[in-house]
Amino acid sequence: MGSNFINTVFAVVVIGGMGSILGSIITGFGLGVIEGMTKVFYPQASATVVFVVMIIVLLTRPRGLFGKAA
Amino acid sequence: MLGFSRPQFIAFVVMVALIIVGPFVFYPVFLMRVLCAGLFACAFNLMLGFVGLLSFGHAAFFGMGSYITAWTMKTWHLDAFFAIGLGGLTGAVLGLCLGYLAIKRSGIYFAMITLALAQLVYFVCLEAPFTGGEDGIQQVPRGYLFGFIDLSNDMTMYWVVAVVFLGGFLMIHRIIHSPFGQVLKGIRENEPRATSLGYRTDDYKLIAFVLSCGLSGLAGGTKALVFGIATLTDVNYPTSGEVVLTTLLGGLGTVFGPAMGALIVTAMEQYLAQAGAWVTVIQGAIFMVCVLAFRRGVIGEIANWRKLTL
Repeated sequence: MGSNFINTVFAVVVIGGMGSILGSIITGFGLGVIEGMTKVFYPQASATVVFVVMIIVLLTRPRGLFGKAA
Repeated sequence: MLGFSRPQFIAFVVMVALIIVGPFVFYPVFLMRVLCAGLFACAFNLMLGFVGLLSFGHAAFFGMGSYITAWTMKTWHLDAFFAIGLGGLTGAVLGLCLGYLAIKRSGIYFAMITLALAQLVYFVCLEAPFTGGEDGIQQVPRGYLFGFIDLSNDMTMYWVVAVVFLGGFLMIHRIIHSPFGQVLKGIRENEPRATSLGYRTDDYKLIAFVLSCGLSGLAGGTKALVFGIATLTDVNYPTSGEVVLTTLLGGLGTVFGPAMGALIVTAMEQYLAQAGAWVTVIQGAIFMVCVLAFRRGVIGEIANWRKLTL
């Protein structure tokens, strides 16, 4: 019922950087490609890979990839 | 008494009386579900209500606790005491690992990173061989407590669950009212100020996180033992969402609120089950009314009305 989308969308916004529209667009494309590639090579993890990316990004760049510095 | 103020003590006596009378009036298995959900919500409240950290991944600790308890009961035939204890320990250890990573961020980022880590735990539970994947661990024997108390009887099981719940409840109450708990509340109100007073806030937050996760694991383990089943539902994110709802409905930052919230939410699920898909709609409506009309939650509003601290 779309509840899986909410998770992915949350992840996209957080990874892209909150408040950055360009960040969301680029991250959305990027994550879509990553998820698609995972589906080819290791299908079980395709729903989880988004969260792996999110953890790595949040731990290294807390404001997201395109977010402004606080 | 017991570190309670007078109104709190009265509320505590009422709660214990309800727990004792309960199984003679209602179906004990339903009440056990309430108590497990109540302990889980109380543990969650320790994080959200008293440290102000919104964790969106508490299902991971709850679910992992239930998996470990179910697995040790079924494979190793452990004593129920050790199986539940191991469930709690697993929650605490997992909480230490994930909390160490998550605690570095605050606010919405903390919520998102706990959600992400919990989804990784969900993935492990889905793929790892010992959890049984989509089937979960089924037909878990209830076994014996201390080697001689047979738990297969619902009433015996009920008293054990009640003791676990009250133990966890009193522990949380003790934590909140200790000097350590005062520091936690200080962090909730103003973190930079707590830092400037010389407290290592990250350490305090991590300890609170581990305690909360350990108690969640304990609740999960108890639930697995009661129903003899551990499934993916317990690890998945809707469980994390439900515990937030339970805590808010009962009263955030009150000692008794989460238990009350668990009673309301579980009763809705139990008695509205005939309504099928409408349960979610009704729950959503009640939650909206709660947020719009009485934002402190049921117990919070009562406390505010009578000018008490519950």
